[in-house]
Amino acid sequence: MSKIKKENLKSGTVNRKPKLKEKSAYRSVILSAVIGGLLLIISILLNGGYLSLFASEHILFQTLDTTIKVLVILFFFIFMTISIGNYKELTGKPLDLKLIVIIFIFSLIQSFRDSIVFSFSFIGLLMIIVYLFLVQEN
Amino acid sequence: MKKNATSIIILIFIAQILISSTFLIVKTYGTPIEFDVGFGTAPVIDGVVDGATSEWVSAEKLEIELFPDLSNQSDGLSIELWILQAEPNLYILARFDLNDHISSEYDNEFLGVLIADWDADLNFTDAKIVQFSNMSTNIHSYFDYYINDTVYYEDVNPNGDGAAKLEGNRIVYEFSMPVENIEGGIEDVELDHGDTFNFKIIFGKTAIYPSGIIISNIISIHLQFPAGAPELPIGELLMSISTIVIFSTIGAFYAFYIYRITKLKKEIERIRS
Repeated sequence: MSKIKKENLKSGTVNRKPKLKEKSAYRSVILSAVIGGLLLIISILLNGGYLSLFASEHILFQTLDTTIKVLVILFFFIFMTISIGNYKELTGKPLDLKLIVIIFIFSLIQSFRDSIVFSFSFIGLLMIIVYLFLVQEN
Repeated sequence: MKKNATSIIILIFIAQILISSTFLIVKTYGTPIEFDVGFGTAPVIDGVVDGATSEWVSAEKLEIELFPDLSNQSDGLSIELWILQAEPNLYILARFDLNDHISSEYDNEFLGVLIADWDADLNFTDAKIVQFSNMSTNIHSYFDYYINDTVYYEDVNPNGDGAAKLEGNRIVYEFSMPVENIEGGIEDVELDHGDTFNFKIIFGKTAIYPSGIIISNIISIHLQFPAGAPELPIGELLMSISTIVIFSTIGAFYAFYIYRITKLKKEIERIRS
């Protein structure tokens, strides 16, 4: 009697584990996409030139302005990569290089109005890709 | 219920970001008096309003006061201010009366126009000053200065023109300054069509700047495009179109991805079966 119960319990936890993993991956797809969307809105306002954070020409404010713009682009890339990566995992396909390049281009092109933001975003995105590549290799 | 609450929280969060971001633009000092500009024929800069040639007729006319302290606007000197745009220059005239204006007290009187760049708020870096050296004999000079940390440096290549003339107790100051002049370099604020610039009108009785300034006020002028000229330069127009196209494309792809997410659960079930 007790043996049957134990087996039932075991098979139940085994089935629940992948379901739980799937649920958290699905949640991650949605949450990361929402954060990516928010960052895209902020990027449109800042990098699209529709909103100025600082009117002052002081070097400190200008540096802060550039830093915020670059960070918004980098975080957009990170969150969209996480979201699309999990999406692909749920559909049983790997996140290939082609998709990473597309996200890379969509992230970098947001900085096309400002050469300084473009340069720093380019370096930052390359560093993230190299990091992801090294993590994947390990 | 839980889903609804999450959606409401996300919506409030987005709205909060959008609303709060509009308050991040730095504002300092007071709000300048906003001023439109009239178009007309270029006046002669000689300190005389020539009625026979209808000089300054189409200028935008306003009466403002110059104050010793802009934060406490009392005991002001009332002046007439006329603004006129005639290609390729912007013209400013200031006219006012003072008791015993001919007396030696006003021998070293000056009136100047300080200019801040369109994106520099009230950071005035350019100065055009008409300085008297002897009021009774009407001897005066026009100076173009570059201001760095409140220190006035005379421009190597002065731009614009200025003149003044006293008649009885009434004095007229006239200025002209080039618009879209790229030769001014860092010494001059480059005035552009389609942008708004802050100007500070200053007045004093001793030829020392800025300590000689006794009264002032700030006006804001939007420089208009001359009739027939395109509202936006071609470079700016291309940049605006590119911005809309690029961000719309990214937005469209993002919307498509969100649509795919909504179908994700069905796709997982299809893969499983």
